[in-house]
Amino acid sequence: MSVNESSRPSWMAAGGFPTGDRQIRLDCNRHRLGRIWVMLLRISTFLGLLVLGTLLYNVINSSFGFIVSRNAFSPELLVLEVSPHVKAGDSLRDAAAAVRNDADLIAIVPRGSEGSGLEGLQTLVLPLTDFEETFQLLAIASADNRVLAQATPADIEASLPVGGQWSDISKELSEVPVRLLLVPDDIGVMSAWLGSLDVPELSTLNKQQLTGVLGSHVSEGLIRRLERDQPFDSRSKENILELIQLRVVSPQIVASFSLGDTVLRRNQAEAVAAENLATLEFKSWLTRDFITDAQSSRPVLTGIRTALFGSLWVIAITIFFSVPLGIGAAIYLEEYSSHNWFGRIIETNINNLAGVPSIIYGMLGLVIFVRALNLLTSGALFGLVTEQESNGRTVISAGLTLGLLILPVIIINGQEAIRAVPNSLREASYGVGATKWMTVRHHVLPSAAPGIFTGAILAVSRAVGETAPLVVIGAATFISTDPDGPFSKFTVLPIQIYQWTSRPQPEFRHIAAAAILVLLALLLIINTTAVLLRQRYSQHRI
Amino acid sequence: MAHQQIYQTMQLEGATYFSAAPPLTKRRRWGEEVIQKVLWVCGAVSILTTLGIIFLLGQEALLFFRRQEVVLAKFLTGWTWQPQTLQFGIWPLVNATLGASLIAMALALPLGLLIAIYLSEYASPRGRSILKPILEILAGIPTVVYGYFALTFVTPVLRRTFGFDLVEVFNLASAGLVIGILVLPMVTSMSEDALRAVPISLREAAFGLGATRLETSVRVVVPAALSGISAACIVAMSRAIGETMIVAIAAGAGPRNFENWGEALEGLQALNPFQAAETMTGHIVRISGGDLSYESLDYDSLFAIGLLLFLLTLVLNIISRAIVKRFREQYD
Repeated sequence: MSVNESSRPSWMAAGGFPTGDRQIRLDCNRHRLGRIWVMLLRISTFLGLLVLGTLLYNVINSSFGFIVSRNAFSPELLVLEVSPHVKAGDSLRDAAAAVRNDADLIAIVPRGSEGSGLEGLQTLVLPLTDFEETFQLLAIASADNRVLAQATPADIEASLPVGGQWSDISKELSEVPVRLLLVPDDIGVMSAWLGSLDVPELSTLNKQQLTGVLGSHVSEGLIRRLERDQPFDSRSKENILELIQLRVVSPQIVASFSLGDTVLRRNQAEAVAAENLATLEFKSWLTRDFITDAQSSRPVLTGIRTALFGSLWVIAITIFFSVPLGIGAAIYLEEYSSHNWFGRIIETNINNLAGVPSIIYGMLGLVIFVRALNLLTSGALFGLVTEQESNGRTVISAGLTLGLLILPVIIINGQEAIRAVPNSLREASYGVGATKWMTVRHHVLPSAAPGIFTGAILAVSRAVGETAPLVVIGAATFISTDPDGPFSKFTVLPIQIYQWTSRPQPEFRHIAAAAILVLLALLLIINTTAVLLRQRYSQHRI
Repeated sequence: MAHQQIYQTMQLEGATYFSAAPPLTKRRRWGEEVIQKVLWVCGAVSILTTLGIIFLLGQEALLFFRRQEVVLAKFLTGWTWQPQTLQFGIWPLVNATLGASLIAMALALPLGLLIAIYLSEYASPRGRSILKPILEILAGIPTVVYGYFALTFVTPVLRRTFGFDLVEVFNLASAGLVIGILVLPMVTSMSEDALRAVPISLREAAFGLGATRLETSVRVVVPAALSGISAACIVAMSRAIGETMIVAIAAGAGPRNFENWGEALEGLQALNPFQAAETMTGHIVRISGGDLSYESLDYDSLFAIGLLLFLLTLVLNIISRAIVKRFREQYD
């Protein structure tokens, strides 16, 4: 390279090379500059690593941490309703008799108390434990917390004034003062009290009892709907328990904290919990239930099973479609046509296709697979659905779209692998009289296989994380049934993450983070497989 | 190819030395031909994909421009994108796309180039063998995860730094920075490949003339690899323009509309990175995410945006390939 005028350093213009002290000074400066730049380069590289670290920290940080939660209805109370030492449905008089005998404390749970408030009262007689005798009437809360939510605290107080006496309610009752009245806002206190009782877990009840509990706490319409979905007789106990958790107990998250806050700002979390009379617990948002549960609209109860199955189905279709096709195209381009005009066109074309934004593939998929091939992709052609209700937004449309998306990547990687096979191998094969296909089949492909498969797996891992094209072709955002074939509706893991991230509530951020951990783990497994495959094959060859 | 040459040589030799023997003829092998045809079809699928993209985007976009509500001139110059009032000016979307991409480039180019120089010229083989896989991990993370990162980490940090009033919850800066992180591995690895392709003799010559390592890197190696580096930049730009999930999550849902060019440029409002804006890709995802009727104007308009997006990235990709081809320094 010739040194032209403009690139000549400024000190040279002053006249000749510097000598003596001046040279030493200049050299020192040059080396100092060099050291400064090395620092800069190291810092840049460190920044790159820092970003990766921050990203992982950010996800893990949100996946675990304290939550402050409050049950809409205490599960202990449900157990007390049906467990032996509580006589649910006792009349107020019986309850009062119990009070007179100093045998028990009472919680009164009014049902349908919109009217005068007391006709429908149902009493629970609870065992006396370590409570002071002065607490005669302990709690009033509604069965489903909704009746009293409509009634104002003033309404309740009017019917059962604090500071009043039992005899105010009914003349037959004794003149024992009513000491504590709990209104819905204070339900946490009741939970805390119930927590101090030695009440068995909800899961210790049998199925019949659980069904009864569910039936007495939700509307008849909902029971009918549930019965229609699946008859209660054929439901498992776990299923009913889940329904009770969802519909009756229905834990509400008051506040949630990240892992960093959990460790560093414990006091703050405790303060929030105390303020809301709620329980503070450490929650890992990534649990086994989270992976095995179907989707639910409630962040605490939701799971990713549906999305996980959706992802697996879609990827299976993608692999079946694009891997054979991609490898075939790579073989054709490298072994059969690398020098003719058709080969050159495909070559240029593939390179351009690899640079097309993924969302464009989504639009292509929408027009071709979802709309034009509607009958095929919805399964109407095979009589699975009628033509009127055929909808092409199915697993197979998604799989084919992603297949087109990763096809160029598979082809390019495959070509590189095939190109790396030494020519001597081919010539030796031709030398002993093999045909072209024999040479490819028995010599080129086995030798290129590790490279081809590694490339294909990396391409597939890209498809696993792809979101935009699937949003465009219209993956369902909320379905709770698992996909059961190529023609079913579906959702995939990245779309779930997108949906949850887009919600404003902080709980959804946490489950999005947990889902991200699952997705990253899945990708890690896929990529590790690729690496192991490559190692295994290359050992075999030596 | 190779076997044809062998075949020809054999024929030649047959003619020269064994002229008495019957001439070697090529027997038709049906199996071979079927296989070749099947493989040809595999190759043709990629052509069909391209034709499909061009044809379908073109067709649907044509439907859009044919509608009487749509005026092509307004589409190309308008600053309001509001399908409800039948105003289709593409500039709010293009402006946001370019804004996010430029922010991304401002982060990814210097950082990526510096890391590439470090990896190629300074790092020990052992250091490189650790750093390169880490960058590859970064490249393999799904974009939706980056979107999550933008919204839950970068945006809060920006808001805390620059003030909650100045920085909106959804903003272009956060999305742009994270796109920069997304394309960083791509810039790094492509630039590093270009730097390492520069023959060692060039470096040795520079060292021989008394240049320091920095002077060698910056004045000899980088200029020699400039074509590869600029190609990397352009490919990264194209990737940034087409990036979807990050902007869909973090940049905002709704185009930043203006009346006209004057209003858009007044006080450079259109360029404010701390306000929400919707990019072309973000708009496509948001509109198609809802239930969309196939006959609606909205649906057709998506394809007009898609066509523009496709052409934009295609042109950038072609330019990058042309640069590599044209300006590559051949040393051997």
